[in-house]
Amino acid sequence: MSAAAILQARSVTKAFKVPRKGKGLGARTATLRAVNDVSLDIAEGEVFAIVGESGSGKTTLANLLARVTVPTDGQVLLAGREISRTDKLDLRALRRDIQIVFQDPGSSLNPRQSVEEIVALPLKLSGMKSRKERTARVRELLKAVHLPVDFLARLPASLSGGQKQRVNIARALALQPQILVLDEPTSALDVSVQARVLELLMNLKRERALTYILVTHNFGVVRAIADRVAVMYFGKIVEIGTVGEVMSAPRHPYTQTLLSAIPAVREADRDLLPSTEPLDGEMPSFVDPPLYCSFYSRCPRRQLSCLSLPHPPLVNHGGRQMSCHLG
Amino acid sequence: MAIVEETAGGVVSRTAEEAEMAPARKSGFRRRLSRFLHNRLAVAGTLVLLFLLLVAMLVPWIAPYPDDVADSLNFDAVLAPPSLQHLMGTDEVGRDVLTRVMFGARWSLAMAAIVLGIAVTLGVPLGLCAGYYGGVLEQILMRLTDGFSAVPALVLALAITVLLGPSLLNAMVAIGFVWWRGFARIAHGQTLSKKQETYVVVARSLGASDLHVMFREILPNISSPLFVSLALNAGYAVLTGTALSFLGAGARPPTPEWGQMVASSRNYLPQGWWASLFPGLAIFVTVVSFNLLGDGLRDYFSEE
Amino acid sequence: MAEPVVRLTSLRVDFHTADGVEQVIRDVTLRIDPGEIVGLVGESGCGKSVTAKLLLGILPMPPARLKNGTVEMFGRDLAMLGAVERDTLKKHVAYVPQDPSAVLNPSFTIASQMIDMIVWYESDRRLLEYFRRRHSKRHVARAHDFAAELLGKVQIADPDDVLRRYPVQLSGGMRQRVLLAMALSGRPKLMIADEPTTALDVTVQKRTIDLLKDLAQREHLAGLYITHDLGVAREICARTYVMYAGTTVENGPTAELLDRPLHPYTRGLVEAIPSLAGGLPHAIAGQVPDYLSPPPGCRFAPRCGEARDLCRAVPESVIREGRREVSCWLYERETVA
Repeated sequence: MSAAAILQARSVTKAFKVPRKGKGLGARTATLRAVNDVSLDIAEGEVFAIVGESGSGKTTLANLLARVTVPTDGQVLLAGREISRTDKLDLRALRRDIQIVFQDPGSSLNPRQSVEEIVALPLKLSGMKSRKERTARVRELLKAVHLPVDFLARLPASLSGGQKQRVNIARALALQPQILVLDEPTSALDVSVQARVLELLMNLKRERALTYILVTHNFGVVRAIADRVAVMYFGKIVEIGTVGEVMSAPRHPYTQTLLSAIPAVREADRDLLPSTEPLDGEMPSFVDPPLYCSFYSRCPRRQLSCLSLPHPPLVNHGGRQMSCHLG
Repeated sequence: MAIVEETAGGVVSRTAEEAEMAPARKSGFRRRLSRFLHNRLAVAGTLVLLFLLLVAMLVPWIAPYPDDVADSLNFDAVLAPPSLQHLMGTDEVGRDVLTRVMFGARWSLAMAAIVLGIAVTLGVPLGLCAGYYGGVLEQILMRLTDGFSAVPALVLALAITVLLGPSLLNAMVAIGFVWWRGFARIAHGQTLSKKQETYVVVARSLGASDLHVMFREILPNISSPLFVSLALNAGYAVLTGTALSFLGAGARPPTPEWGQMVASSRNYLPQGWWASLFPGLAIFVTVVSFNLLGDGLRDYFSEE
Repeated sequence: MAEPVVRLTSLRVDFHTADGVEQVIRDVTLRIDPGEIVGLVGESGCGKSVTAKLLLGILPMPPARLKNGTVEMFGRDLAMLGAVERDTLKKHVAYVPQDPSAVLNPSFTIASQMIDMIVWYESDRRLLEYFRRRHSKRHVARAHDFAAELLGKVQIADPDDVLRRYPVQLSGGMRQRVLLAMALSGRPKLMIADEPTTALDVTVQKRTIDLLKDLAQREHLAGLYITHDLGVAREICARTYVMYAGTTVENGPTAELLDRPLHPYTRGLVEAIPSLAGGLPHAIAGQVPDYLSPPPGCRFAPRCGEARDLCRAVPESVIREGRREVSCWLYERETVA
């Protein structure tokens, strides 16, 4: 790792207490770990992708990294500084360093506020008192995301999906953060609009020397813009590596199954994907998690020996990390 | 034909997107207005209320017999039927009914304003807080509203006037303090549903204060049902106020308050029908108009 | 050659709204043959859902008006049929929506809902007959068995267990499969699926797609598969129509269509999808036209890199290589050599 780690997660866990239907005299509440003991190092200037399906915990992890929520265990460090404690952290100051663009561009915008008000909010909260100054900044931001300046007075309802997403991006850039967490930035958009937003994101990254943490389920997007990728399953990371390596030679059986399930558009792309048996079975219950490898119930390569061991830790195989007993 | 380059549009305001978006449609406001105007009844109600408001504001200048507001005996024209000089006739002490009905508009609208002013100012913030903070605060507030639900406003008002002496103002304030629960409940329920919206989460994650989130993010999005309730309750407020006065617990003679006028002139029914009827009609028209407006607003908002 | 299950010819549908007349469907021509699954792909707002609703007969006809073209199903022109006959035809069409929760009632068990549908179809959709059968133990038991059979067809391992459950107790993929089973209960000849896998995880999607392919083959179903995902279309659809701004601009065997697109829009669409080999995808410049005042000729012309003056006139549809069809002035009718 040449560049310094700008954001780190150290054994981060996010647990919830959920009521459990009592079968006999067991505990009334169970612990649901949406994110379970995850550690990550994100290098400055890279695009780090976190991939997973629903229930994998990727959105929760994104929220933890961006400090939208705090972990129940473990720490998140920004340039060595801990940002995950609950006691009074200056959230407004933190937002100068790290911002998040949430999933679903539509509901991220207050339907009763104009584009100007929406984008100016972080400026207002950071103490920019003069309305004129704020408006001037908002104009600059709209320009940076290629939105016409007369959109200032518009309400979200009159914007297309792509335009809404740009407003979100403009708002996220208002305080000139170094790190941007993007939760499914293109999933709600049409294909042709996705391409434009991705292009915009990469241009902005270059112009402003940003670091991106990209949460998505779409490997195409990962391939297009990400440098490294972490694959998540059941609250844990099962594989991390550079995008090129992970996608061309996936090691973990889940990664392999995930890639093989992608319906490729082009003939050429199909050849690049592995082909494995489609996944059988369901994810294990969060309320009663297995004590052995959480992927066992669906793993095409499982062995009986996997049952007698606890969930495999992430092991480093020369730059690539993978969590499977079978190596 | 040139390619319309979307990315070139940064500086120039008219990009391809903008051009395509150019409203061949009516602007948002005009569209909403025309939608509201489709509801004839609601429009009628609104117009009546606007007219009433106008009358209430201009009455000192346009009332035909401004002196008849207070005590003024005119034995010559006692209980004169409607005529050209007195369009609504005169009452039992010779006062022009039309003038008094016009002045009564002030009273009724003021009543509605006071009651609702108190109810909304108390109820909405409390409901917002209950919904936003949840927990113990929510429980306390909700129990309070339940408690107040058990009290019929009219009875409470009567009780208060017995204690403090009959005064419409006292009665109205009392009613306001009972009616806050309706608004609180609406605000509470709406806040619960809106507080999970992403834009609220965004505001909080940016470090916005709770006050900002409640009043600048959530409140504008829950205003529709509150407005509907406001309009519907206004009619009810007028009804309650006039009823109190009718019962003698509100405005006292010689105040030209509609309920009071109906009460004091009712002994002269059915011969001197105009003195009771016209104020009564005024109450009716006002309340129905508020209801029509409220219904219209509700239909309008439910289409969105 | 057996007659097509569905044939839409030069459809034109206008929507009369408060703002004016929206020319939503300009020219849609589409054919589905027995036993084949045909894809209808396009981005949001292109009119694919409107087309589906038209086929299902659920397009509200006051704001919408059919200005031109014919809709033929099972060889019959729908415009020529009375309401009763049209209803009879509808029996053979099943609809699979994107969101199962729009169809599955959370307050009733799967068994209850499936039996409702089965008995309804059995009673030929007559209300009185339905009530009679629904309360007859014999009929209900038979329907229950049929429901279990249908669940087996959609590869649900333990049908009786699923039947006992409520929708909320099932996963998304499971619910979608139950929906498919319910769609099969009327023994349809045509299935119209509107983005059925969009909301599913990719691994679940793969299983659902495999299932659909298998089902279509075994039950000799024809299908219209509406999606915005070209990859899924490639997996499932033998032929695909590409729709833009209310017009079917191109169609052909799916793999060929995607590997060698003819229409500039199709090409743009394919290039906008990130390649798994790397590199940024290419966007299509411009925006979808305003249906209130659409461009006079080819609706894609304002965004097309190869547009010419000729494109101000509506292009004709032209057949190429025998199997492919495209509406674009770049292509001329092939002369028989």
